[in-house]
Amino acid sequence: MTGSANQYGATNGNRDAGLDEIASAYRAHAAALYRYAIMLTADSASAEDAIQQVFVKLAGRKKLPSLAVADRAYLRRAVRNECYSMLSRRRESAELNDESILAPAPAGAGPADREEQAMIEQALRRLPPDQREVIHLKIYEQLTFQQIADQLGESINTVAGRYRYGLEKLRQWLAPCQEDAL
Amino acid sequence: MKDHDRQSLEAILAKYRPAEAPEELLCRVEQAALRPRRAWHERCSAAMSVAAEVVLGFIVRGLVTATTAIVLLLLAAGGY
Repeated sequence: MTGSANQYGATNGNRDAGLDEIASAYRAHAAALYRYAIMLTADSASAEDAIQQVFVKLAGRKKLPSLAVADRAYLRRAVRNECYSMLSRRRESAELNDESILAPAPAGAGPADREEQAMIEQALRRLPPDQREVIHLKIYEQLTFQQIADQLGESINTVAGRYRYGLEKLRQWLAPCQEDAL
Repeated sequence: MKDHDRQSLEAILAKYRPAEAPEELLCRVEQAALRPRRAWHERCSAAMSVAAEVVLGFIVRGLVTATTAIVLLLLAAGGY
């Protein structure tokens, strides 16, 4: 977020400019935010709701925040809060959307690749959200532990611990895949 | 976990990517979140312009009426 121009006044032109900025930020980051949300919630419907809620709330504010197009961290935090509040409301018995949380295998992928992907998908779904989140940020968004810690407001040790525990569980669940890969 | 195992697992995970947002979802959210407010805002601005025009019209009409009345009074007072 840009520091000094942090809020817009009540004038019409500024409000339009604020909405334009939010729309630009949406177009620039929505796809990545969706990937983050679906990995966090493990549910495509929840991910859609989270993204929608964040932007509806942003656009509905009396004073619009100034969003630099590059400010994905701010939006990621907002999506994260929304996802966690959804996860806390979600009942254990709630039926999740069965759409995959991973992108479809490429057209040339063989049966072994598809099987491997299915196992990874299952294993990721079994992980606690906080561990899945750190794995997503580290592997798919390629953030450093320091960046993840800053993003989540946690210590670097906590973040590294979640990553380590998450990978350890995945290793156990994916042992056959790893043997094939070696 | 040994470094070798970790790297091997990271390599397997990195072969896959999280699911992408469907294009229609992105359009739907943009419409739901941003466009109605803009439309509402534009309607509000238009309504404000109409209101300003009406008020201005009243003021101009009042001035014309008052000027006419004064001229008529002056004419009457002058005995013409």
